[in-house]
Amino acid sequence: MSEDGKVLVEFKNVDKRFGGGKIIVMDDFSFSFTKGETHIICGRSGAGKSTLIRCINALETIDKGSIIIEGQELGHKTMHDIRKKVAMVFQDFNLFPHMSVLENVTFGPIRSLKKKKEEAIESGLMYLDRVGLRDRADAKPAQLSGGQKQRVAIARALNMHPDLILFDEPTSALDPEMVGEVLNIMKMLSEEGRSMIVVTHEMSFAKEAADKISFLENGKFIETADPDTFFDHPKHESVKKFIDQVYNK
Amino acid sequence: MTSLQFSSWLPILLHGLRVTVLASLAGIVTSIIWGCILASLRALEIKPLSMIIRAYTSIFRNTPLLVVMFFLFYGFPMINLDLPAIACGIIAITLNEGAFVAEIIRGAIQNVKKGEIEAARSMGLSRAQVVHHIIFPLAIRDSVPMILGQSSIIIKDTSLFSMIMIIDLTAAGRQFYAKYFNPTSIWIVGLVYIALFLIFSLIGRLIERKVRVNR
Ligand SMILES: Nc1ncnc2c1ncn2[C@@H]1O[C@H](COP(=O)(O)OP(=O)(O)O)[C@@H](O)[C@H]1O
Ligand SMILES: [Mg+2]
Repeated sequence: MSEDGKVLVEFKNVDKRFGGGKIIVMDDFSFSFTKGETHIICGRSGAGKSTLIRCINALETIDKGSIIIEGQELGHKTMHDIRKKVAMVFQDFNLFPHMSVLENVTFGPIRSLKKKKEEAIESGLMYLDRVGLRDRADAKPAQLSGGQKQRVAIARALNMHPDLILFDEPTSALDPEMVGEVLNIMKMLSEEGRSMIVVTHEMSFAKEAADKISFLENGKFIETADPDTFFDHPKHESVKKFIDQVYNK
Repeated sequence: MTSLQFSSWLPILLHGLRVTVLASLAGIVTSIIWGCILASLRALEIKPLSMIIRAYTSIFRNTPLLVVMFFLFYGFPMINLDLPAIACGIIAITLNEGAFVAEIIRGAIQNVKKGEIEAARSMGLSRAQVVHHIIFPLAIRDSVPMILGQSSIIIKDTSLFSMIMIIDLTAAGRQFYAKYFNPTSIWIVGLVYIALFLIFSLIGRLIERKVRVNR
């Protein structure tokens, strides 16, 4: 963990627009994410949070500027290497429906990282154990609840031994009673000092687990602060309003 | 139909049945394989390759099978390729029906959930790996009912073999009629086809149940 505090992902003057330039997601956006931190991104629906984190593992391309991940600039040639180090957990799980739970968790390590099968299974079972689903290793995704699916998706991400995990609203598609089981695992990962960038509206999780919280609006982080400052003394009016709406109901 | 007429015709009927069953199985297998190859190559999304495959499928989906059969049956000897009629028939079926199978799978490929593809891409797999391990296996499972439907059409296709001098089930029925001017044989042949379809759809349903992906 001696690497903590170093820059993990750096956005340099990044532009990203949709709809022929009308929809601004990032506007001359520059920002550095720090290694070993849990960084939460919030903002209004449609602000571009998903697009921003999807750019980090090249599921979206940027229009201008550069993204540098552990010193490597994201581009056509480096894309595959970087994706092997940056795992992603999606809002709607996206487990592979034709594979068992264990196959889902070992697929990436075997096919992408070229790990030995036994090795991938051993670590896969270990991560399934950590998310409490070792006994469901042979089940198919369709047999699991939403919360269980997302826990498998987290185990799948962990088994890639990533340097960074991206979460895109991981609890938004879940029934309320299942949100807790997923957030608890994420808290555990955060406490381990893993590097995580999390898009979420779960403000109590943000308060507890975040090292930093940023608010995305009009293509920029208009506010970035530690949780206490972010919630109690936000500088921007629109952040205040947002917190009132989402957190204080 | 007297029993004497029937017993002299029975060997021809059985021969025809054998030809129809074997040609159907061969045609189904080769058409599915060819269709899978075409669909997978197209899924790689390499522009020139996709264009060629697109042209191929639209040509062969719109050319009558019998024309393709005649083309091969009369055309191959002209380039000194001496293939048995049955091979010409099966190749013709493969060329035509492979195009239909490819289109079925292509439709299923477009229906594969974008997120499931992204999950694989986000692990750093190449396009070919994603096609091979995720897109194609999911699409083929989704296409099974329609491919089975297309396979019944292939069984019916083989009746055209009678037009290129092969004694299949259809030709066997016609032979008897031509000899005695008695259409009972056509009835019998019709019933045998129906029996074949029933057996086939039973097998099909078992396959379908086995490969279905629950979501
Ligand atoms: N592939 C796309 N094509 C066109 N517009 C898009 C695309 N993806 C996202 N957008 C638009 O970009 C904006 C930001 O989207 P998104 O990143 O999903 O926002 P958020 O995750 O903050 O809700 C939205 O207005 C959305 O409609
Ligand atoms: Mg979003």
